[in-house]
Amino acid sequence: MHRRHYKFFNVILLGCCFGFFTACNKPQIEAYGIPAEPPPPEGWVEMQTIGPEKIRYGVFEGDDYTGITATVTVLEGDGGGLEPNINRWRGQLGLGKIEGADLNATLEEVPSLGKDARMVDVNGTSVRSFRESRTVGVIVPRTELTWFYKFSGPPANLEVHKADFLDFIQHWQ
Amino acid sequence: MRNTKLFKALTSLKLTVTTLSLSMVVVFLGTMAQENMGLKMAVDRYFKSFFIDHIAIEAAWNKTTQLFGSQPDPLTPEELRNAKRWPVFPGGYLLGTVLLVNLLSAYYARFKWTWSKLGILATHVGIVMLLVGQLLTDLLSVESFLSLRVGDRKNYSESFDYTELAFVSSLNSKSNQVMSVPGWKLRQDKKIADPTLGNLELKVNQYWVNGVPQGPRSLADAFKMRQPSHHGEDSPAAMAVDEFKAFARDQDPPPRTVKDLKALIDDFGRVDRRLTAAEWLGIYQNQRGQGGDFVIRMITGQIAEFIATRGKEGPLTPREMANECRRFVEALKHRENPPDENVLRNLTSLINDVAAFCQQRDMTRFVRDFSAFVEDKKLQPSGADSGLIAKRYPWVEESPESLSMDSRNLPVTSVELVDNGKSLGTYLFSARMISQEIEIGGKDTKVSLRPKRHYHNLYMTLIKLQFEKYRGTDIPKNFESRTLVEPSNGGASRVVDIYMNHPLRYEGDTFYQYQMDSDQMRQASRSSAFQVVENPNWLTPYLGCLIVAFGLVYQFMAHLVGFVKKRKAA
Repeated sequence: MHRRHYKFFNVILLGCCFGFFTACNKPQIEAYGIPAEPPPPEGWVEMQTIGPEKIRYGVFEGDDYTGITATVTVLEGDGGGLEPNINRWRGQLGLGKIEGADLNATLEEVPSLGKDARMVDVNGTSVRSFRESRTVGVIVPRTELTWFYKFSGPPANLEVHKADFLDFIQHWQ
Repeated sequence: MRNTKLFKALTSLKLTVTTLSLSMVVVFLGTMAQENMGLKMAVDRYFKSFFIDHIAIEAAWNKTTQLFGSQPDPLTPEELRNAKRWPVFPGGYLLGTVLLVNLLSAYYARFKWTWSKLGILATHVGIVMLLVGQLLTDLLSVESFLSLRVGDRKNYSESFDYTELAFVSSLNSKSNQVMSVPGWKLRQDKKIADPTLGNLELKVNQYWVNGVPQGPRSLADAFKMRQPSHHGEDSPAAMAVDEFKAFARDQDPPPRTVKDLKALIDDFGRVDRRLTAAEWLGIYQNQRGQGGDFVIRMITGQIAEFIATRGKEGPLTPREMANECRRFVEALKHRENPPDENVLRNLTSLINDVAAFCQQRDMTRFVRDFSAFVEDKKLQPSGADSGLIAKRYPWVEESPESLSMDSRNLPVTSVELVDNGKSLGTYLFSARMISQEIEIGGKDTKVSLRPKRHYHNLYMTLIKLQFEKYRGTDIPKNFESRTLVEPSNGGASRVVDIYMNHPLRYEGDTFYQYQMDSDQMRQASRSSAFQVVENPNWLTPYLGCLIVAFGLVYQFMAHLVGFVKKRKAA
């Protein structure tokens, strides 16, 4: 048999062997790096979400629950709008609705989250627990979505942890 | 060589026809076998193998005979996967290889280059490209899915078929390290040590392909789900569940064997179920307020205070507790400043509910039904002793392995972790549970059993869903997802619409619109899933088809032009 013919069949044979031996493409043990997500502040423990919330944290000091919850909810479009959402939060603390200049007066800008981000900080009595409560809410419109960050709980405890919340929401997506 | 028998056989047209005929048989049998074997197993055993085994043929035969009225028992997943198998029929890879060899040999033997045969040559080169391309796609492509709710942002997709035990630890502030041990290895090997894992060694105690970790409380919840409700009200047996959960939670040590659990259920029924007011109200809160309703908490707190002021701090029978609640209503009405009428009506209704709840318990039935329920579960001890999951869930309920494409297996495994020769304990991991934090090699490491993840060089956020149907029908017309795509390297982000036949291609990955849950009424669960295909060979079929098309057009035109010339000459 001519040498060229052997070559031809060898190539085919090698091709078949390649197919046979590499047919098993199961995953193997491996190690690799991935981008790290920013961890929540110390004492923040992930809890069961309620309704449309994306994530919910409870804030603990050691083993003691401070009564503070931090949640993020993301809704399509403007998520109902700034005014209705601020008034919803106010309503949860037994406060009346406000609009126009009164509403604007209660809002603060949050430049680090963009020019449209607004923060509200309200105190009242929770209509559910009948306890004094405070809510710090930040509303951030971002690429056809609106992010609602809410930090609520007993006023005294909330003040202690507010800086953590404002710092964390810079990275919380 | 051209005159040898083997070469003649390899180049014969009979071989081509035989191979193509057998291919048709394989396609038919593979399609029939899908119902019993599931799509993936059927594809693997019929098309991605050199030979088809007798079990796979039996699965196809069973389905085929069904077409003629026979009702054979389907093969079990255990039989399909683990029974001894004998090759009895050529598989897809063998037929493809023979066809390829046949085609190339025939060319080698017969082909003589002329311009008039360029079309035939191109057509066959295209067919060869399609055959080889399909093989390469089988070998090199990776398919996974990426599921997002509106607002979710992910940089990974998940495998349809494979799971992994993932160890995630921090490398620095910007990156984490993932060590991944595939599920199939946990299933197959008892001891896993690998240079990639460093000093970590895994001793696999047990691996359940599909299972549910169970503990006294999760069993009680599962039992409750099975109880019928009447007009939205829980049955008495279901109402006893929360009390049992509270009772089980206080057990020290908690039951570790099924025998202990059954003894616990019996104890629960035997003991005098007189509880303190606080215990009664706690159970009520869990039952009605799911632990989080502030109004219920406030009212039950006031009832507890009222009962305490009456000096009833000891255990109360259900009837005594109900009477105390009713007394509290009367006391409310006769306060100096009673609540207004509406509030009083609401409070009365709530307190009466507490009273009715306490009186309606039915322990005897609960104990009987719950014991039978636990017996039916055929629980297996998990064999794990460390970590939160093992503590809460001492048993595993094995579920049948699913071969269907519509559901997936959620494995459970019990693994002893050994770091540098020192045992860290035996942990239970489940694909249903979140990760457990374990200190390994001095580092806090999150360990979880999860679908195998494929990380991509992008973050995708789901912005909006659009689901259109043809007017007046339920027939889908258009699935469309608006996504924000952000490159991981910090490059410019962009908004991309992904819909049918309009996938996103990004650095070798293709994201196809796959599934959608777009119920407008359930904002929280509006989600979209993308099928992600990484196929370095994706261009080959397009090229193959183009070359075949070119060849056919060339050959046809060559004949046509020749024919027209001849006619003109005539």
